[in-house]
Amino acid sequence: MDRVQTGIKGLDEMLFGGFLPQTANLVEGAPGTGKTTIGMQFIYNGITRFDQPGLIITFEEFPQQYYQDAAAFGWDFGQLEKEGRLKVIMTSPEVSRLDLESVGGMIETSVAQMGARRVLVDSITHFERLTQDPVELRALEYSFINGLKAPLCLAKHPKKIVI
Amino acid sequence: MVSNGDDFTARLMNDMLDFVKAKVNSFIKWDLVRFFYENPNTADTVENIAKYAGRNAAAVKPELDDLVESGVMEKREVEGTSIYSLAENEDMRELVHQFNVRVEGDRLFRVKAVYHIIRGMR
Repeated sequence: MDRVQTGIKGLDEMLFGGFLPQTANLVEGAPGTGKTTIGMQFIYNGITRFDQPGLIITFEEFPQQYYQDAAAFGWDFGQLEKEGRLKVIMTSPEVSRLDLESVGGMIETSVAQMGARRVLVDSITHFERLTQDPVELRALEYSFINGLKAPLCLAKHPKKIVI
Repeated sequence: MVSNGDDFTARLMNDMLDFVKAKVNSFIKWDLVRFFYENPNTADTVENIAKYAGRNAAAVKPELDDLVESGVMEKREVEGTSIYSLAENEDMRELVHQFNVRVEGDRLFRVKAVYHIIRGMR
C-alpha cells in the first residue's frame, strides 16, 4: 500500500514508509516535545518535496508565530502562502466546526482553491473547551474530523491528514 | 504631465491618511487591522478576536462592525454566530498592506495617523 511520506527520515522508517493515506493521525506529547514542529515539517515537506499543498488550522498559536518558527528552520511559510501552496488559518474549535458544517465555508473553499492534500490541526485538545462531557467531546471530535475529510474528498487527488 | 517621485510619495501619503480617516479611525481599529494583517487567515467570533487583541468584546464589536461596513473586514452568519475575517478583496488587502508598511517604516505617517485619530475622537 502507498504510504504518505512525512519526509522525516527516521519517522518514515518507524511508520514503514509514512502515514496510511486518507487517515487522521494524532501526535501526542508533553509541551515542548515538538508536536507542532513535526506537523509543520509534515506540511512543509509535503509542499516542497511532494508537491502536495497544505493547510494548517491553528486554535492556539497565531499564524504570525508559525511564520517565525518556520523561518527559524529556513522554511518560508509566507512565500508558500503567496504562491497559494499553503494557508495558515487561525480560528476556534466552535467556529471551525460551524464552518465545516456549512456549505462553502472557509475551510472547504480553501481546500478546493488550493487543492490541499495535507492538513495540520493544532491542537485538537482545544475541543475540550466546548464540553466537559467525554462522550460529547468524542462526538464533537469525530464530527470535526469527518467534516475535514469531506472537503478533502472533493480534491482531485488522495488526501492526507495529520492531527 | 510627468509626475516626479515626490508627487508620488505625497499622493501615497494622502491616500493612506484618507484610509485612516475613513476606515481606521480609532486605536482599536488600528490594532485590529494590524492583527489581521499579521494573521490574515484568521476567522473567528467577536469574543475570540477580542481575546486575541487583548481587548473587551463589548468594545471590539462596534469597531469590527465599522470595519465590515467600510469593506476592510467581512462578516458571515453561520447558525446565528457572526464570524469575522479580513476582506478577501485584493485591492483592500493591498491597502491594508500599504497601511501597515507605512506604520512600520514611516514615522511621519505614524505621527499624522495618530493625530487624525485623536482629532476624530474629539
